[in-house]
Amino acid sequence: MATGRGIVVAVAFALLGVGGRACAGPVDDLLQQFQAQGASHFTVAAGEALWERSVTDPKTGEVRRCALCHTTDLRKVGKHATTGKAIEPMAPSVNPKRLADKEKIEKWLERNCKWTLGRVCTPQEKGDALTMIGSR
Amino acid sequence: MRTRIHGIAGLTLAAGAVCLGGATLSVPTYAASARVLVPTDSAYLKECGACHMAFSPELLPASSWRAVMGRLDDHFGESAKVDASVQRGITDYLVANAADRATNEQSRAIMGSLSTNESPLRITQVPYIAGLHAAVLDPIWNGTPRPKTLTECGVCHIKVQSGDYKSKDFSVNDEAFRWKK
Repeated sequence: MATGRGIVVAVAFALLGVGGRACAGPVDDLLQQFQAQGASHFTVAAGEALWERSVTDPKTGEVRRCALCHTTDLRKVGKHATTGKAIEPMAPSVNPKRLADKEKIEKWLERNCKWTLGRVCTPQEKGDALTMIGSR
Repeated sequence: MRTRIHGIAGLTLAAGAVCLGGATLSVPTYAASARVLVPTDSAYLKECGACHMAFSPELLPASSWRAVMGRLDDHFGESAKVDASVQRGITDYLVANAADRATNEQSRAIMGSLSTNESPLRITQVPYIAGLHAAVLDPIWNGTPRPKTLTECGVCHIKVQSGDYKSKDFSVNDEAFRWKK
């Protein structure tokens, strides 16, 4: 009987596991991908530090950081630094469209890392940023 | 205070009337639309409209669009890189609907103000458009809005969503405009 119950539990876990993987969001996929590329554990704190990091653009002398366009409070509407166009909030808690599309996330990480930091982000930085944004 | 201004729009309308009058005097004329194309291409709206207004393709010649779309990894200092297939699709759309293929009055004026083979990378570098907007871009302009750049036409051209840049309904500061005149 006990063995029988054990099998049922095991089967249930197996099903949950399969279901869990099928339902894993684009962020989970990406975080696994970044770890496969050499990143370690991701933290909200590291993402916050990256978000506030200021980098001076050598060509223009502008001081750039994520928060410049997206604001420090990710639940607020941001503003494109050059064009002034409104940017919908980054926080999934107020804007469910965020972090929902893998290709979109990858595209904007590449574009915005280049503009803000002057280079592409490392897998560790991208994972920390997504972890922080996802917590908002 | 936002109000209706008749100045520039009135002049443009007067010019239009002369053109119409020309027809009866057998002066060459053309049936030009007053409106420019409002872009509808979904990839263009999504990729370009994410950061700035998706400008009408009829505001720049095809050669300009090719030049802008050919260097998206440095799009005025910013990476606007998209997949090669998306880039091709958007370029084709912009080129097919560019100012040199358009028949509306504004596109003709834009092309007329450019010298042969001139391919400005910005709409505001088109002499016709630069001239019309000189007042609001002048450092001594003290009205509102006081734009740093002209990326959102709809701030002043309140009927831009229907492709209407000539409407007399545009929104600038009344006092300052009168002072300017």
